[in-house]
Amino acid sequence: MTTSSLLPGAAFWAGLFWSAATIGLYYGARFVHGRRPRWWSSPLTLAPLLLIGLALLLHEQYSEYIRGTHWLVVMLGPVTVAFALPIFKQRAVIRRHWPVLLAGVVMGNAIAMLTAWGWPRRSTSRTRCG
Amino acid sequence: MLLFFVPAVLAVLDHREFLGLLGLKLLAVVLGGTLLVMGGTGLTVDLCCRLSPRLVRHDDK
Repeated sequence: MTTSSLLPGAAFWAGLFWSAATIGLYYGARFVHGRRPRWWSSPLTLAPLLLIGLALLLHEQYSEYIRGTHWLVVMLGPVTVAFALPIFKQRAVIRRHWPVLLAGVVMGNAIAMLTAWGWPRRSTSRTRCG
Repeated sequence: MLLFFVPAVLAVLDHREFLGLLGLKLLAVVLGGTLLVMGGTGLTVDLCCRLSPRLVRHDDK
């Protein structure tokens, strides 16, 4: 066994770097948004834009980036489940207004499906005609 | 919480075609669809509340 196999490799440091960059830029964007709230300074706009710029600057591939930050995406699962908590806290409101809420959910779903289905259809038919 | 969505956005690095006009078109579709869903849902709930005075009275309680 060589000593080099015991030390973390280049992939580990790249993963650490991109995880740190993602978390750092996200909290940086949050700080900026807190000081100067603009539509473009939303953390979900500013942080990815800066990260894309950094990745382009360093000629980094997406496969390399996601190898180091995949654990953040995996965390979306528990985060989504945790959304049950605020819903549970509103259970009295839900029980009282469930017919109205159901109508809203059904209408929202219908509009989402119809717009997603109708938009590409219209655009493809337009390109076929013109 | 939004932090966990950031790495997914970087997938655009594998799809450079979305960084141009096509990306702007898709953005317009996504924003338009979101607006229609939010507006439609809001109007539906508002209309339902208006049409059933029983629920409005519950609200005031």
